[in-house]
Amino acid sequence: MYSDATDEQLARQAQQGDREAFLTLYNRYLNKVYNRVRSRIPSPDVDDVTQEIFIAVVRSIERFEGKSRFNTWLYTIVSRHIADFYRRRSRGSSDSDISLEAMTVGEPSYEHQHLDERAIIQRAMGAVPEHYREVILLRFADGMTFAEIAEHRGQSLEAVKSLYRRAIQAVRDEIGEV
Amino acid sequence: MDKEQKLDAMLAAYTDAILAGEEGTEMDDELQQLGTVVGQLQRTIDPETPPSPAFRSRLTQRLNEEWTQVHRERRVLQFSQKRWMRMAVAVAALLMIVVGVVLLLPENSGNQEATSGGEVSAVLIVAGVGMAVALAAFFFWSQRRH
Repeated sequence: MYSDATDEQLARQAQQGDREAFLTLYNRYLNKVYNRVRSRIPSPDVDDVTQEIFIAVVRSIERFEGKSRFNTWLYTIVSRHIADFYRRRSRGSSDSDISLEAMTVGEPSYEHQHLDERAIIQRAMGAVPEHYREVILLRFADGMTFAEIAEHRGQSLEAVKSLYRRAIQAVRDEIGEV
Repeated sequence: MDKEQKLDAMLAAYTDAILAGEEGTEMDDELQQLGTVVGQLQRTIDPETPPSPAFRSRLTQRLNEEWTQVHRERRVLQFSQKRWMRMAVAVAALLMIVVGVVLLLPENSGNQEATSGGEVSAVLIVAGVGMAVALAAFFFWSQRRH
């Protein structure tokens, strides 16, 4: 019953107090949200930020009006919490310092080069414009095909592929400035 | 298809191959650096790495607790917003106004015998005004809810 329902139908049922509908949405989006958080947040904090996001969803799902897709609404919450994380943490030092520092703490099994690469990519992802970041995350974190991204964004396939190349170029430019 | 579109399609195909775990197709020289970025993104965001079962289990339990708490609070709020509940509050407020006025007025009047007719009128006027105010507040409250 729940597996066939759209996200928006499940959200409406959850608004009426249906816990199972909410848990279906949660199971549907946990990996995607987790991957989005992992693309921007140092590893030691990924679990905490992911938890904060889903708690915020429980508290605010009543305010989802259905004017946009559910995942657009959800990813707005994800972006807000990632921004909040850096706002909280940047009170003492810059974001890039935090990323590199946090990435190298508590993960002795990671190779240093790989840690550096993750931190650099995370920083670059945080620096590119939102629409570039979004198309990359839809492809990498959500696993959407380019055709699905085109449908999701209401654009042609060619326009999405063009946007994607500009997005990757922007990430490349940011990496070049590190 | 112009050159720009070819580059767009080539990078998209390369990304599809990398994410499918295949060898990337041969890339145009202009796209070599972008291909490297695609590989770095794939290693960083890797969708094949889900949250640990322990975290998943902990989060599910935490969300169930949060859901219970949020809906308990919501039920209390909904109860206080029921029509009969609001009506009862309005009637109680009205009764308090009337009782308060009845208790206060005799103390403020000097000669009880001389002013007994006036007191009754005053009580009725104040009670009427109080009732009108309470009904107006109730009406206004009801309208705002719809």
